[in-house]
Order: sequence, then C-alpha cells, then structure tokens
Amino acid sequence: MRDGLGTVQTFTSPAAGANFSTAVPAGYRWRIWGGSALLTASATAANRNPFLTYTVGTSVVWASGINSVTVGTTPDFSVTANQIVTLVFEEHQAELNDLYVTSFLPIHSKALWLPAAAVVAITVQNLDTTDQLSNIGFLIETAAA
Amino acid sequence: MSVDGTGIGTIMTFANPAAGSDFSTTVPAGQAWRVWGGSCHIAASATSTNRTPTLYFKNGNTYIYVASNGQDYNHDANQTVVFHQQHAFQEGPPFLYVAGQVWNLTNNPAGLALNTIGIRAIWLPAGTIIRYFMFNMQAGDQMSQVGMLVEAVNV
Repeated sequence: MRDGLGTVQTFTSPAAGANFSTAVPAGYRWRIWGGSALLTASATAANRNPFLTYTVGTSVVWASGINSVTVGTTPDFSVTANQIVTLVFEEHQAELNDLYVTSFLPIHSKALWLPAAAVVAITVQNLDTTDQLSNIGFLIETAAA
Repeated sequence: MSVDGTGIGTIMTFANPAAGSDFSTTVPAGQAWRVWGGSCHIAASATSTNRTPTLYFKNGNTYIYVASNGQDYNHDANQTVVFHQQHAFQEGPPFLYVAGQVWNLTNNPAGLALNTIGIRAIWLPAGTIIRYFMFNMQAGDQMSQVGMLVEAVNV
C-alpha cells in the first residue's frame, strides 16, 4: 500500500446538540489518515457513544465507535455528564481504559479511498441538546477523482 | 499530494528534556516525516504516583494519533523504563477493548522494563508535533535517550 501525504483540514463546529458531517467534494477522492474532535458534554446525564462513519450513497462502508461490549449492558466507555473528551480517530491504538475516558478516546478509523460525495460523519448516540463538538480536524490525502 | 518514500529511515536522536518535562519535536517546514519506531528512557523519581507514558502526533488543534498503554501499565517510583514505540504493533478492532490485553514486555534482555505501544507510520506534514509525555509526571522524573527511526522527505 502506498502511504500518502495529507494535509490537516479543519472544519466549522456544528451547532450545540448537533452531530458533524462533511462530504468529499466533487472531483476529488479523500483518504483520511487520522483526526480528532473535542466533545464537551453538558451536565445532563447520559451515556454518549461517539461513532465515525463513512457513507457512500446508501452504503455505510466504515463504522466504528464506542459501544457496549455486551448488548444490554452499560457502555464501557461512554462519555458522561460534564466530561470534555478528545475523540481521536486512528488506524490502530493501544489499550483503551479509564485513562482515555478522562482525556482521549480513540476510535478506529480506516484510510480508505473515499469517492466524491462520500459522507464522513461523527455521530454521538445520546447527544444532549447542549453538548458541543468542536476542534474538528482530519489529516486528509486528496487526489483528483 | 502523494509522496512515495523509500521506507528507509535514519535514526534521529534528540536532546534530553529537562527533568520533569516531556519531550516534543516538530516536523520542520518543507519536510514530511514518517516515524517507523523509537524509544526513550524514563527514570521515575522517588515520588510514588501512577505515571502513564503516552505518545501523540498533533497538528494545530488536530490530533492525528494518540497511543498509550493506559492505567494498567503505570510506572511507580524509582522505576527505569524503556518507553518503546513499535510500528504496527497492534491492529485495533472496530469496536474497542478486549479485556486483559497485555502488550507489555518485562525483563527484556537488556534488563529493563519495556513498555511497548503501537505507532502508525503516517506521513506527518510540516508543523506536526511529536510528543512523548507522562500523565502524572513528577518534577524529578527524567526522559532521556530519545531516538526515532524517521523517514524524511522534502515536499
């Protein structure tokens, strides 16, 4: 596989309580090598579960996030009230444990070539209306389609 | 923009940070770097606390990569540890966490504890900060012998 050199692109923060998405521009392909976003949780108690997805048309070609290990149990690494967590999207990561929950929360990404119009989304399950995603940036390799 | 590197790096060594300070260096202007591996020594002072060695790549406000073994592998007082970064050490699952994962090696042939984490050899654009640090670093802790196998290209 040929690794490519990307540039860091930053994005406007969504409104409070809103998730983030962006689309690969027409005429281009993207490969995402990593990135991050800051999730500032409100005082409302909830198990917030961040996910990263790549969607092409109606096909979800990549989805990864934080969820319960066992269905029906409390998620192990949810973001709870008043936490400020940097979500880090990366191709592999070391062990996840409480350390990350209080500072960095790694989410598995994949450097796929995404065609034009593919949607890159950060979606937080149970996002509260006053939660805020900010400081969104990705290391993106861009090529003409 | 794409770059084909040779995959051949050279060892770069760096000055020791001051006691109690972490290490960081920045990809110079006009270059891109891929870090294929590296290590540094961490000598903990006599102060008892849970030190957690961590590595990140950060460009502006964007974290490109963060790795740490976390709280299971903290270092306590008076320990000397080689904080070792190894390429492709672990492929993470899409849904994270497998209880009981152990990636540490101890009692290596050099007789030092080896705290190994995985890194990713991503092309890092100019201005990216490579930082080794410890949560709960103490004033008397010392990082030393910082070295990395770096592939550098002009862009």
